[in-house]
Amino acid sequence: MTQAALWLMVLLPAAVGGLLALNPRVERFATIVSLTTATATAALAISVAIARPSVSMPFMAGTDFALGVDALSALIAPMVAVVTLLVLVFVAGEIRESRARFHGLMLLFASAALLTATAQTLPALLFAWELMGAMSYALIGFWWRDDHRVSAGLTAFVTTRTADVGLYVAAAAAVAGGAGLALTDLAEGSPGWRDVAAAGVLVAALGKAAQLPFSFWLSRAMEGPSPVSALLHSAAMVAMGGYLLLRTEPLLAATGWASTATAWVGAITALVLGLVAVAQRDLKQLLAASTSAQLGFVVLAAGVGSVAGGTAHLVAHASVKALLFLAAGAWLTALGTKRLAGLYGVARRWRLVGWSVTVGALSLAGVAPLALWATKDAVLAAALEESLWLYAVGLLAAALSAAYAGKILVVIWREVPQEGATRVEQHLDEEQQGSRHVGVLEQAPLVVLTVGAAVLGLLALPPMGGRLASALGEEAVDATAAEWAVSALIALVVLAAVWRWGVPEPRWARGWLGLDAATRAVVVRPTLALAAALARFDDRVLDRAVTGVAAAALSAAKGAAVFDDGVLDAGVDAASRASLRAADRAARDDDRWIDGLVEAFAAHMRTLGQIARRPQTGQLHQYYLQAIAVLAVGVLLLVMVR
Amino acid sequence: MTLEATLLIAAAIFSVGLYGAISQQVVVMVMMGLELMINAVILAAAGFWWFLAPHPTGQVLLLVIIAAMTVEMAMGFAVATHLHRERHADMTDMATDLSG
Amino acid sequence: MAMRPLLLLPEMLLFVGGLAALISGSFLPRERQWVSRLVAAAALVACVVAAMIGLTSTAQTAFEGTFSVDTPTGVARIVAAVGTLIVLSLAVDEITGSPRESETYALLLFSTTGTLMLAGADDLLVLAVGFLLTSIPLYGLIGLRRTPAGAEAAMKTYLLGALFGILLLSGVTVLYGITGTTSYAALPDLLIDAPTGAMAAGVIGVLAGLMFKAGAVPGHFWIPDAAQGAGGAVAAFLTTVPKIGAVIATYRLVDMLPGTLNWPLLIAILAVASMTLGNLAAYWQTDPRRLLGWSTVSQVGYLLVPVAVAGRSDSALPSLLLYVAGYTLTNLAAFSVTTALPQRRTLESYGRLARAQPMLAAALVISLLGLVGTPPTIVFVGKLTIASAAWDGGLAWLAVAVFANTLISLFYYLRWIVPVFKSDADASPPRADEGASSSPRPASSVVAVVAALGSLAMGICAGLLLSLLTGT
Repeated sequence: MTQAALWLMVLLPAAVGGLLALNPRVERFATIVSLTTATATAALAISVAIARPSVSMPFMAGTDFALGVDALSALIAPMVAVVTLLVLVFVAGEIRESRARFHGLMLLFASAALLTATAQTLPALLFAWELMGAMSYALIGFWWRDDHRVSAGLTAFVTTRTADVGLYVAAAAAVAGGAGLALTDLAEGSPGWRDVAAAGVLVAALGKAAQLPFSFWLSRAMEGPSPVSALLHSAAMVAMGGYLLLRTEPLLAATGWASTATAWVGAITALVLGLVAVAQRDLKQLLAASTSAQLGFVVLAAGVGSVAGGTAHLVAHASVKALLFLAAGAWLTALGTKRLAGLYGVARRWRLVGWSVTVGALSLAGVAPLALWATKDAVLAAALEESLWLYAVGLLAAALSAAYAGKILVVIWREVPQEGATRVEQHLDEEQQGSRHVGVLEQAPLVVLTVGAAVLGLLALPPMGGRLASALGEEAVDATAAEWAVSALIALVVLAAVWRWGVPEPRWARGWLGLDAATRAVVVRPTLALAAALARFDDRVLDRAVTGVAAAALSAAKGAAVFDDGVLDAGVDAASRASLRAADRAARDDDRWIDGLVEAFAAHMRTLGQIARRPQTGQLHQYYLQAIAVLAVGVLLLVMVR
Repeated sequence: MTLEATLLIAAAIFSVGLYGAISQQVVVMVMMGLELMINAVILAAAGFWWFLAPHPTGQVLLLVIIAAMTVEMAMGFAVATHLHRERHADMTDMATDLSG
Repeated sequence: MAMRPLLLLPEMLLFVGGLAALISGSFLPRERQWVSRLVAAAALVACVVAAMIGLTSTAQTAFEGTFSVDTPTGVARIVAAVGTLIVLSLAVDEITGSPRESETYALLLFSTTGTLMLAGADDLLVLAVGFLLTSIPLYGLIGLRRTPAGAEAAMKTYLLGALFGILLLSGVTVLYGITGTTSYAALPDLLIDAPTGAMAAGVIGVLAGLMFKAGAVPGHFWIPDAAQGAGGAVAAFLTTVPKIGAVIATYRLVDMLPGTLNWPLLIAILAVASMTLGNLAAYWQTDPRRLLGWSTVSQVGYLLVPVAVAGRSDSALPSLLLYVAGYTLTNLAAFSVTTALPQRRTLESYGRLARAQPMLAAALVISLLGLVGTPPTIVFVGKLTIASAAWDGGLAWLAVAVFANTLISLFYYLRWIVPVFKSDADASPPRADEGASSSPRPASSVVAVVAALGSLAMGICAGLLLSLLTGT
């Protein structure tokens, strides 16, 4: 029963999402269908979190395609499902065109994220990981008519893909090292191969989590719709990078060097991207940089072996960041800008949104007793046990997070003086035509997320923190009272300073450290040059491949359309026509009802006969496709139905 | 060279061949796709024989497949020539009279 | 385990007969090619006799357990040889004096040999060889009629056959890879512990090849095209004889598989898909041969019904063999009518046939009603036994599907039968080019009438046949 719930949790959003994404006709019902699905998925996620089932399917020699819910997944999976639901509620209010496709892609993405969160073996993880990457590409580039957005999606895709190679390396190393492909067994590989596996996992996770040196893709990804940012950069994709490190913490610890490296990459990312965030002038860019920085704490937690602290921080951050991204999206829709300069005093205009963001930002700043204060300190306490330097860097990063959170607060609450009003207003509508309106559907999720941003700190505070730690099988590291107080004090002091004096915006930090440009120079341009050379060398081959792919896609689409038009339409038409005719006849003359029945049946047969002839198109390649498809379904049937 | 590597290469060739067979419309190109597929099967069969069961059955299987390939391809060129002579067609979608 | 080559005497007779027909044909002038036809016919008759003698002894295996000689093999030999003999008689009208007469006979015999190898195969390697030996002569046979439609049909059959042949070979390879053997005797024990995914892929591959040969979904695409594009005798051959071997081979394969995967469901789904698709797609056909082509797709669906309950019902195998025999005869009778009247290429052109050619019309009606499954024809008994076998084997819904499809099939067979009885008043006057007035081909007419009567006689003696099949 609960096993079915686990399968269903992954397959339901995938199936519904697939249907919605491929079938633009359901536009009208898309919202309601997707919300129902998301609600059901959330309910399933919570139920599996309680029941903790595990399932597995034979996949290839030596390993299964296994899913399971342990203490870690029991927190992450509901988080993903609930944030997805809330984001989709928000989407219901905001996205007005191509809803079916958007909802469909979001559900597919959520399904992939849930699969990642519950995967117990590397094959399952790789599958989910790939799917997640592809979906993020589709979602960031959702408004495909705008070139720069598609290119942003491409950047996200290529960067995370490059890093994903690490996961394949890890899988190969795990097999070679004799560890098997179950995630829990990775630490048991032979030493040399284990190091390779750890390095692979590390690279893949750092790529997804937008840690240094991969951080820049997150900046480009901000071109996508705000709800996408809210889901991808809070609960799902970026978070899954952190999650992977938490999951493979034993592997990292087993190698010795990997956990130290992880901890330092996390700490330095938290510090440097914190600086980048402080320098941003665009709200979404600021939030993106802060996401990298906050994930730095999670990565740090994985490095110092505090899985409980890291998980708590991940969950709490998901709530906070989803809240802030959604609010940024709401303002972008209403005012047409996400430049901080255009958002002065915006909290006074929409009070509910304003207060929600205030709570979120205070939590982000680390003000006691809000969520991120507690979870961050749980991580820092573990870091202190490891090394004083790590703790110091972490504390500095915490101060920076107070600074950029304060920057947001200053902007949204500060009253605009009369003479400055025009300067603010000239930013309005600079990106899109604002609606000057924030609807109920867009506000409701904010309230829920605000509550999360306030209270999820309980996960890191005694007594919950200790219980979580023991459930994850580790010693609870409780911060001392002094540590709690120090971080709370730092947050308050920095906030006050920012309110009073403002923050500097170093130019070098504003451009995301030039990482994007560097990558372009080092990776993208040589790749393109190589591709161009290859293209000149064998224009025909590439050209053919591309046309081939396009043609195949087109014909598949055409096939689907024909099926759609032909079979569905004809089926519906025939049914209605036949029933009309039957009704007509029954009403007209009772004597001939058998006759009528036979004729109606014959009419049915005639229509079905027309439909049955359609697959026999005369086109051989379509026969090939049909035959292969039927056989593939046959294999699936055999494997699935026992 | 391990069995896994052999099978992976075979699977890759098979997939490429299948894609070619499905995507191409020139009869000879479709045949090339089929040829790739059958080569992959030969490779896999040889791999199985070499690594798993050094038993005459594997050799016979290999021979059967190779013979099948030869005969199928010879037949294929005959059919392609015939099609060209009768219909002046060298693409599958130039011969779609029989349908429905 | 021994070679015992004599057990394969019928197959050898056919193969040698094919070679003899080919060689004799190349030394004979065109007007005396009938000699090679006689050679072929003699080989077929000898095959039938040898098979009958073989049936009297108990089941054995030849060539170290790779080929089983038992009741199914014996029945397949007799039915296939008789079927080919009928096709040979149809060819008398059609290809006497044509440039490739003896080659046609040789190819027919080779393909029949392949069918028999399929039917008796107790080893995946023999199965693969049988598949190739059946398929490759077929491509040639279809292309023999030098018309654009024939060329198109040959191309489609070849390309589909090549793909499915490769799938079959890859299936064999996968099964060999996971078990290290290809023998049916050893496979079941080894497959029980085999990884299910690989096993499923392997067997689906082998099944795909057999479904192509049988003309069932998903390998059915070539059947209507080849039936329409090829010559009449060849069309009659390719819609009947190869199916015999393919269906029995499928039965042996499924019967051998361990119950770790749900084979019966898969076969049942393929069966229902074939019968439904064939019946529905036949509805709008205007070319009688194409209609018959689609009808054979649906008939294979019925033939797969007992395969789905292989090993779970005692009556599965006897009902399968009875249906195979009955179907072969009835289908050949229907095709014989179309080759007797080669100018009538549309259903409308069969108008007034009852008046012009009462015997042929009667043969047509008997064979079509037989294909529907009307008592007292043999296919009626066949449908009854396969449905009861399905019921017996726990697949009641499959039995229901058989009856529902029988009802559907009535519609299109009636579309052909109705014009036959149209009176002068409402029939459009036949055009000259339709040649309704030209006299029917003699040999085909005789074959049609004899085969139709045979299907009636078999239906009446069905009880006897069934007891023979279950008894031996």
